[in-house]
Amino acid sequence: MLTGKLEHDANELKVVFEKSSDIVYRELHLGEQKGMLIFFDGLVDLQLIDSDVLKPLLNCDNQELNSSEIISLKQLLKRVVTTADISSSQKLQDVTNHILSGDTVLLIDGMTEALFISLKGWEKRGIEQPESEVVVRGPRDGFTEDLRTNTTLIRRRLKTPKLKMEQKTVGRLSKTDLVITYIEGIADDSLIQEIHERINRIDIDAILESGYIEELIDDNPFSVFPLVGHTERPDKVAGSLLEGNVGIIIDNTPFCLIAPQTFFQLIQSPEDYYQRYITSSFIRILRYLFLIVSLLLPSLYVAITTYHQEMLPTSLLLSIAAAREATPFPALIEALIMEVAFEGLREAGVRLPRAVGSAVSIVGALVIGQAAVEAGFVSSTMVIVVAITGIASFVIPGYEQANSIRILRFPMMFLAGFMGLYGVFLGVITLQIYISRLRSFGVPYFSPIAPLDTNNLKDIFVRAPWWAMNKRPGYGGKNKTNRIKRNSRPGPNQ
Amino acid sequence: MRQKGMFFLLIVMLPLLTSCWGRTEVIDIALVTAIAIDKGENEDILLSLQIAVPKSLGAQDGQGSGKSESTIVVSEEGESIMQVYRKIQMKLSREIFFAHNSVIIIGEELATEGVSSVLDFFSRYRQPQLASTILFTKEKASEVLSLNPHIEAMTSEEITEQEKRGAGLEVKVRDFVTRMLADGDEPFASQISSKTLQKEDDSSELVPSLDGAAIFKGDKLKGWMNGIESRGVLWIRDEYMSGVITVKVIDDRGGGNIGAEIRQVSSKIKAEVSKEKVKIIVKTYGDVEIFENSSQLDLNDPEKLQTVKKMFEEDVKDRLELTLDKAQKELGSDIFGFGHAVYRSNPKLWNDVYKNKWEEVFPEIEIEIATEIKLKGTGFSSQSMTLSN
Repeated sequence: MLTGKLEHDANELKVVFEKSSDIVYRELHLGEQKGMLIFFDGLVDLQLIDSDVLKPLLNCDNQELNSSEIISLKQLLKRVVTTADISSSQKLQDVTNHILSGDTVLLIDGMTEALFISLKGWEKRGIEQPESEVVVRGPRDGFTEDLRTNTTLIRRRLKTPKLKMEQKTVGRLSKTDLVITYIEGIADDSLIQEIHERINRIDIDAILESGYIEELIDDNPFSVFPLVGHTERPDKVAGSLLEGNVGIIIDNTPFCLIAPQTFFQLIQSPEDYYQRYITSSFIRILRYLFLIVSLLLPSLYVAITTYHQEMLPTSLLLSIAAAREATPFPALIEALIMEVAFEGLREAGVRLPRAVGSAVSIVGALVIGQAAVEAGFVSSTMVIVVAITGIASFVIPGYEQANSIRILRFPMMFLAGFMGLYGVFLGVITLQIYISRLRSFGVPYFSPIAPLDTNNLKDIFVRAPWWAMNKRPGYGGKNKTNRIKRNSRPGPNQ
Repeated sequence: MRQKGMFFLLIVMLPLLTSCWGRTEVIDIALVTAIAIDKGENEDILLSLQIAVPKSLGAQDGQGSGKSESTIVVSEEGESIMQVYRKIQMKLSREIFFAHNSVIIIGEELATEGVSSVLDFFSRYRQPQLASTILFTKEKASEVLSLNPHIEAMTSEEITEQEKRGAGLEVKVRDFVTRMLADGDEPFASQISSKTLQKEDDSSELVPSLDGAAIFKGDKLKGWMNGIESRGVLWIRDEYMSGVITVKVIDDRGGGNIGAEIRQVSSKIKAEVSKEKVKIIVKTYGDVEIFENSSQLDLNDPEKLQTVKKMFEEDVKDRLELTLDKAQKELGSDIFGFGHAVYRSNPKLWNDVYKNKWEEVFPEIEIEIATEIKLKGTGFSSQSMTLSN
């Protein structure tokens, strides 16, 4: 509790913020009264403090201040300070919290209430194009590290009072702000409740990125697949909210979480909904193809060339045999070496400073592509297989989910190497059972295929035109409402 | 937890400890691309395998080791295919792999004695051969295999490509065996022989060529048909796709030739069966487009066209009769499946009367041929160039 004696209160705060070089205590006189502004340098907008707080306070009529016997904070607030967002509290704990979160605190001698003036302002990145999810057609703005900017980006897309943004603070030390956003009436109430409860359960020292939250609210912590989605694109969040999902925007990261997540979001890109539906559908089918390639091509190659040579056309088998003539390792080992080399190269490409990036690609292409084949260490067919697999894994829009597929490729290769096609199919069946078992916030991961929901199939294998997607492909069931008026297929007026 | 761990360990060890597995690298197998079977000099069977050498077949790497043989032919004699195959295996560094074999060639001497003993292996072995083409030769089968390929990489490929082009009768082992075992049907297959190919530099080389057919009765070779006769077989069996026919215009009408392509060929076999008599009616149809006309006939004239049509029909009929005569009277082999047609029209009668004495009845049955040709076009120019003079 504040005592009302400025000196005492200020000293108490100085003890709390001991050894903090970036805190500012600005003493000021309001006529007879002494006051003090306390804030962190760098978290506040100094110019605004000068113009909106200091100037009015110092210039205000001394007469006016002195004439009233009791200067209540509320009066001062009304008359002098020209800032919109102002609150007050009597607790010392609140005072420290507000100072830490960037508010400016005004203490006045004789007052047991502290005034919090919100003039936050710090250096932040501007809105840029999201780097991890590039589209050709579609909005170019991406989330930034600033929570308020991010909520604005969503708010501007959905101008409805039904768009709710509930704020929470998580992390004992970091006190990270996060916003749970959803559209009332579309998102399932029990889902919102569940997310609230799971987030309330988190008791951690700090949240530095959305990944912390993602792992701490996961349904199945041992799952290979991510059960919470994330994106850098506000349009994708808005789209998800409209489908009844819930978004979790977290301060200090440009990644927003989306829950629940299903398997088929792996092949859905925001661009699908902006392009013509025929194009999108074609690309969808292409993605499914490359999804299978990305998961199975190396293992199919290993299985067929070591167990089922009769399955290949003779001339293809002869080419493969000719290419493998001089190679020292069995197909499985060769595939593993090449896949690991490729993964290493890929990882190097991500981590390397831009200046040396091209060097890596040259070395990679020359050493792994050409020299290794010419030296007879690996066969050229294997290089082709690994290259196609590598390309295929980049075709999948869901980056995190594509990574899961990338990892699953290795057990598949072992199965193929030990048991041939039999092993590959065992692996695929096991994977299918596993995926069908997963749940994300109560939603079966493989829905709407398993369990089958024929109403929601319009956005799975192909992307149906907007005028044909009448129903909201929601998960709640009861909140499923019509999205678009029936019979809205466009055409010339009759 | 401990128990779970043990279980997991067991699962992981399971595939590793099976000790017996079917893994073979592609570089550990010897791909058999063609098989030749002859009667051996000392023993029953002389088996020759044409084995592909991938080193010299695949895309050439930077350091080309010069032109080396793309295939090798290995032969061995023995009592049964299985035995000979094991004998050959002993001499090879790689495991013999039959699944990619595309051609089986059998020599005349062995074929005359009967082929069922050798074909049994190919239909029974786990790397099945039923989709291979079966061919017969008057020469030594192994010598046909040893011919050098010219355009394709391997002799077997040259043979199968010729087959695809429609040169032969395209009989797979599967078809051959089915016909051999079926009642009222007899097997036949293409004949392969080595022919001389004249090259530019006045040198000549022998190349495999598909021409004619080997006609069987049961599993024994009965005789050969030449190219024209063998085409008739396909025609009657409704397997003929397209071809060329040329008719000579008689001198009274001015002489010359009319050549045409024939397409959309089909035929129907009908049997009229009674207890005493079997009559087979073969109806054939075909569309004809004239591409060559060196006669004096003006093809713009519908009447002339009728005559041309008649001539084509006569020609086709003559050809088919030639084939039928040869098969029926000379070889006595029912390669057209007439017996089957009889069965279809009257199964009971077939089973009761003809099934067991078809061999004697077949050469005596009456066969009627009806041809119907439709003239579909006369090419881009209607008049013969010789006519305008």
